[in-house]
Amino acid sequence: MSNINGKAYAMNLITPVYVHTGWLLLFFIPGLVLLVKCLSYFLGFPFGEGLGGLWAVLLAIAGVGLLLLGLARWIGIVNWLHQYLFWLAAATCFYFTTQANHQLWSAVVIGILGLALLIVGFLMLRNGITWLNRLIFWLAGLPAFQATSFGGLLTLSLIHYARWVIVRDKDFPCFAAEGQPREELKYGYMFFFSNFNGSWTQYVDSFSVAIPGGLNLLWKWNLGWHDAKVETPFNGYVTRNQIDTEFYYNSYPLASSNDVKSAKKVKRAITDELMANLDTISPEDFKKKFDKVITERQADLSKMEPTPVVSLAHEAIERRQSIQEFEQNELSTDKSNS
Amino acid sequence: MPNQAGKAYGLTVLCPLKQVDAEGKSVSIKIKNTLWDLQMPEDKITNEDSEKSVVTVQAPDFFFKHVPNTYLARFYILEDVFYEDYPYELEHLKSKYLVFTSNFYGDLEPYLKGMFENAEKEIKSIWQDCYGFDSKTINANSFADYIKKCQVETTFFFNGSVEPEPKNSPNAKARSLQEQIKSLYLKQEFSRFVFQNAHKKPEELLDAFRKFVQETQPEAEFPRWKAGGNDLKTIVEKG
Repeated sequence: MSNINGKAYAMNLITPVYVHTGWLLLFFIPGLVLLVKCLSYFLGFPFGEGLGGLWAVLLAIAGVGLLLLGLARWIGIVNWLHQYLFWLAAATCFYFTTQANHQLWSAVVIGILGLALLIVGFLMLRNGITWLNRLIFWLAGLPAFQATSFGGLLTLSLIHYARWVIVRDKDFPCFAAEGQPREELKYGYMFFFSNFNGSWTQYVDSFSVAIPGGLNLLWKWNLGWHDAKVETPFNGYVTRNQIDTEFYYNSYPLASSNDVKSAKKVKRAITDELMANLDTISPEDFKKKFDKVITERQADLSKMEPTPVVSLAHEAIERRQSIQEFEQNELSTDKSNS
Repeated sequence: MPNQAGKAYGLTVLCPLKQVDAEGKSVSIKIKNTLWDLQMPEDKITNEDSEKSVVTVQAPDFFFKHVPNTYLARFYILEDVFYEDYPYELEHLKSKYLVFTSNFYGDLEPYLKGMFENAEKEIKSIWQDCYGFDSKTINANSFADYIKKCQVETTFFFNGSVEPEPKNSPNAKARSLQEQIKSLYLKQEFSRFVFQNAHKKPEELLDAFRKFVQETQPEAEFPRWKAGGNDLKTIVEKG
């Protein structure tokens, strides 16, 4: 395990996004029948004969609810128990619509069931819309939305690089000719990789405090996600879905993300301003220019030092070194005593 | 291209692992040990004649320092996917995967070829038990092809190491690693220079700065920091 290298910490999260198999027709067919019946009433077709206005509205609600559930089942976010319960509700709705004597009590039953189906269908569907997830990332990447969507990340200024990768089962590389089995997954998975400065706790807490809205936007559609504003469940979600890094290379372990950005400004100040006319400039003019530069760049000037723990591997080496030094000292003391 | 932000490239690779190697050992454990060994150099016994051998240990070492233009890279093993509890369904991966990611400067193909040319031994030791990787016949071109087969496309790539620049600015792009480590070297040395010389008289200050420029060569490639260097005593590379 090697999550840390110098000032950088490597975080890996894997969270399920959506499913794409299921029994679409179980909910779609009765839902469509209800909608067609309702439309038939309003259009005056024979299939809708005998319905009242209230009945037609209730059937429309139940029909849309069933369609949403069908979609939810299709992308696989309805489990087997839910499926049977909803199928029972859908069958009840469907049964009452086929009865000739539309009484008030049956209208109430179908109304309650229809509304329940609509609400649950919407809530479940909300968790499974991967295309919306991808759309959000696409929009967030457009120059016009960069500042608003990731302004918080830039303000936090502790990230070197971060990326999100959404993978479905067909996206997993497969060498079937060599006998590797093909993946069959109901859910898609969102991989998140981050390279940031500081400790895990600092990073997670600062995200929760500074940009909970941005996190909710990106993870809201993932299964199991609650809310980034409340720290304990948010930390629990991150911990549950995190994988340790085995090998982490950092080309500048002594530098933070801000050091990298500051270094660029300092170099430009040296080459473009202080080195201009260096052979001919008078000492007084140079002093003025120098004072101006260090005043403007004072936030970028600092000496970089190793962090207390350069890496877990380095920490292990230092610990072992100190044990060996102790043993050597003990050995030499024993020799001198004898 | 979602894999790129300016000239910074975010490579994400999932390499399927065989369950066991030719000797029947677990491949995932073997790779974890290999990755650990690759960053923990072997202990060297320096004094075998003494009553008790003295072991000199070195700082962690990373072969990626030899791979041109790598900002950050990592490996981990994806053993399985996570279960999000009821009411969601439990499911499992059929294979384990070696996950390799790299943030680097430039284009993919030359980077991968450069990686193979500079770290062939390490690449073979890491990837030897992956499906689709033949360590006997692999070369720079086939390694690049293999990695591209295992690559998954990034959905969104965020580059926080680049200061936002005004629109259409020629500086609004990622810098090469060489530029970055040269800049970090200059920042360190110039900060030291300021602390030591800011109070001096104009004549002395100008002389000191001319000496500073001569020593640090701000517009030349060297001296600069070593890629991956984590010890201030040895971090400067003279070239």
